Amino acid sequence: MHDAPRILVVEDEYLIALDLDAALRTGGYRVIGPASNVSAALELLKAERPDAAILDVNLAGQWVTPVAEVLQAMSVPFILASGYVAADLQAEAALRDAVNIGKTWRPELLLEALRGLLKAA
Amino acid sequence: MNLEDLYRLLRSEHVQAQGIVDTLEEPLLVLDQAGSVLSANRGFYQTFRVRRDDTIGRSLFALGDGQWDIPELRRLLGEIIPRSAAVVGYEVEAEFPTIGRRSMLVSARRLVHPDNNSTSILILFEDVTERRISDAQKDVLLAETRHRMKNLLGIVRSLANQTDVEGRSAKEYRDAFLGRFQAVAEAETLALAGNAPADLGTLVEQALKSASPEQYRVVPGPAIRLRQPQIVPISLILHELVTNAWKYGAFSRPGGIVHLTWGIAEGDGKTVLHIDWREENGPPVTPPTRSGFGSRLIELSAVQGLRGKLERKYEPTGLRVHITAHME
Repeated sequence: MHDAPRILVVEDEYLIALDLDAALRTGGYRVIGPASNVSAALELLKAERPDAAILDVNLAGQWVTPVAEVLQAMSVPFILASGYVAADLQAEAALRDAVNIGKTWRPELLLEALRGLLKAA
Repeated sequence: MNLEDLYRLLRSEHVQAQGIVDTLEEPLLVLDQAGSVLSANRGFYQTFRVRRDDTIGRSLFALGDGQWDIPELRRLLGEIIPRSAAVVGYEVEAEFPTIGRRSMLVSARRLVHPDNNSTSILILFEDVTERRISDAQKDVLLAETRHRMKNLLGIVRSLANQTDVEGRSAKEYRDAFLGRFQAVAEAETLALAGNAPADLGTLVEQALKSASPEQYRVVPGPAIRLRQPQIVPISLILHELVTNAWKYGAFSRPGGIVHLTWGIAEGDGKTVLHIDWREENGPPVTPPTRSGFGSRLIELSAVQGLRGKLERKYEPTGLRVHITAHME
C-alpha cells in the first residue's frame, strides 16, 4: 500500500467526494483531498505531486480550469468526473481533451480510466 | 358624392391610416427606392428616441451612428425591389445612441403605390432585447438544473454505497438507505420550491414528523433562510439525529424529550448559525465503540457540507450535539 499511486480528488459535493474517495481506496489508491474548491486544490498541489487527478468541473459555480492548468504544467494526468457534456467544455483548452467519466460513473470504468492514465504517464 | 366629399373622405381615411400606423408600438419606416426615409411612425421616434429632422430624408444606413450600415443588410434590402424579395427577422445587435445596446429584428417588404406604381420599402423593427435576455437566463437556469440533477443522482448513489451493510438484514439496510434518501428528497423538494427560500424551521418540522409533540420541545430562533448547498446537509444531520434518538436515545423511552434550539451569533464580520440538540430522560448513553456511517455522515455534513463544526457530548442526561455553520 506504501507505493500505491496517489490520486488528487477535486469535488465540491461532499457526498460525491466521499463516494469517489471510497471507490479509490477500494481500488488500491491513496487519496489526496478531496478538495472542494480551486484554492484548496492548488494548496494541496503545492505540498505534493499526485500521480493523477480526478476533477469535477463546476465547483459551486467556480470552474476547475486553474487546477487543470497547474496539473498540465506539472505533467500530472487527470480525468474529469463532471455532468458537463463535451460541448460545454469546448471553450476550455485545459479541459476539452480530458476523458470525462461523468457524474454517475461506474466504479470499474473509473478504475479502468485511471489505470489508462497511469500507464500512459 | 361631390368632389368636396371625396376629398374629405380620402383625408379622413388617410388620417385613420396614419392613426393605425401610429398606434403600432413597433417602429416602422417607409423608404424610397434609393433607401431614403419617406416617413416614420411614432413608434420609431419613441423607440430610438430620435427626432423627425434627424430621420426624414436621410438614408437608413446613415441613421443614428450607422448601426444599420451592415453589408449583409444592405445586400438583402438591395434585393427587395428588383427581386420582390422580403427580409424577415434579420437580427442586428448594436449600440444605439441614447438607448444603448439593443437586439433588433429587421423585416422589410416592398410596397407598391396603387396610383402610380411607384415602389417603396416598408421596414419594421422589433426590439427583442428583453426576449434575448430572458432566453439567456433560461439557458443558465436549464444548465444549472441539469447540473443539480446529475449531482443529486451522485448523492443518492453515494448514500446507497456508504450505508452500512455489515451485520444487517436486507430490510435493515433498505430502511436505513431509504431514510436518508427521503431526507435528501424532502430537502431537494424544499430547495426546488424556489418561490420561498427554505427555512430552517421547516426542515426541523419535517425531521421531527416521526415523533409526537410531547416528545420534543423546539424553541425556534430567528427565521433562517438557508442557501441551497446548506439544505441537504442540515436535512441529513437532523435525519440522523432523529433516527439515533429512536434507536438509542430519548425517543426510545417513554418520557424522553429532545430539546432543539437555534440562534445566530455575529462577530468579526461573520454570521454563525448555532443549532443545539439536547436529549433528556432517555436511556444512559455512552460513546459508540465503533462508528458507523451514520455518525460519519453527521460529521461530514457539518464540516464539509456546512463548512462548520460539530460537537458531540455524551452527558449523563443524554446526548448533546452542537452544530455551528457559517452563514453568508
